Amino acid sequence: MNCSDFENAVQRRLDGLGAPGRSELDAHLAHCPECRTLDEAASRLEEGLALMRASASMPPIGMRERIVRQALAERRAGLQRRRLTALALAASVAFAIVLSRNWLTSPVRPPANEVAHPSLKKSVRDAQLALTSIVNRTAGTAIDEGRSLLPVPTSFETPTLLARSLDPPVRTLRITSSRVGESFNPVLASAKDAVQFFLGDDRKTEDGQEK
Amino acid sequence: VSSDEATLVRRSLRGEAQAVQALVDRFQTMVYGLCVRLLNDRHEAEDVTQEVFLRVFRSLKGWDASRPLKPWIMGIAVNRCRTWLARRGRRPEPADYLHDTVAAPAPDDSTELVREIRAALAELRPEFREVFTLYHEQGQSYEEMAEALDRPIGTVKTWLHRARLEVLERLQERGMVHSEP
Repeated sequence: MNCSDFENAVQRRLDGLGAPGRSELDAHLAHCPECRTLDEAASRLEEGLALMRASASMPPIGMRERIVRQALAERRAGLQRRRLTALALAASVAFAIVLSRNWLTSPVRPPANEVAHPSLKKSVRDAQLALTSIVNRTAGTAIDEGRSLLPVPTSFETPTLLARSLDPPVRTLRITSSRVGESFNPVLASAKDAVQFFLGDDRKTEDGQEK
Repeated sequence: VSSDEATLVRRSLRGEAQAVQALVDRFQTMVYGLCVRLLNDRHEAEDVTQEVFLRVFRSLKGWDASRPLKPWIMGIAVNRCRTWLARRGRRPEPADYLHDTVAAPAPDDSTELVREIRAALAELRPEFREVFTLYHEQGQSYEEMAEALDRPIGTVKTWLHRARLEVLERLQERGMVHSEP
């Protein structure tokens, strides 16, 4: 047996597995002071370990109760958290189902704040009416203004005299009226062309072919 | 794995207070003892022991029922101690064990012997200290230590043998060995 074998024997002893034949060990120890010291140190270690095991640190009083209380409280909190999560999930699913059912069954409508766009045909007709109205109003205003500029007779003795006195202003008024009307003719013609053009396009667009 | 352990775990998972209590009862001395030895501070050991059990109960659902419970719990305890020590950022101070007393009054140098062994342990590398404590104080087998520390048995055995040699060397240096040269 050499020192390495002896060291292994010490490890086996400390493992609690026993050592090889005592005679072999003693034979080695007889001529190896280092291994004798190691052997003695191992004996002291065994002695000390036995004392340490006997005086093992005991848990403080009340520690078990504190651990159990905390563990159970944590478990309860976990359960409550899981329940709340499940509840929230169920509510979300139910809400989603209700929402999807309503969406599937209700007709498609534009949103309330969205104004329906008029058709092109209607727009052109409205524009036509507006233009005609402007033209008529302008003509009427021109006639009224012309009338206010004419001299007004102070007295009308007889119908003949009245007719005679009214003849020049009426004639002037007719001329003015006709000239005002004539002045709007190009505008009206253009407007009519435009209206016809749009109406024609509109028809084509709506029906797919020109009528 | 004993059916008793599996039943205890199942009942604990159901939230049965008695089962939780029994589980703590079964392992608290072991866990606390390990924490005291690795941290060298009883107050910190108590805090860490509580943390260990709370972690055990949180992770109990993931426990592999085909493996024994003890190494699994001791593995959690070792990890919590390592985390605690890393947070503390310094080596364990061998001071708290000075207050330890041996079971019987010592007419000889046994008190000093125990103190020297504990001081030697405090000087060991963390993994050496862990295996030494698990083996010699907590009575864990090589297989259980390998399981707890998630290391091969050969590695664990090497660590323990080196740890012993370092402790033996210290005992010699400190004059705790009386053999004649």
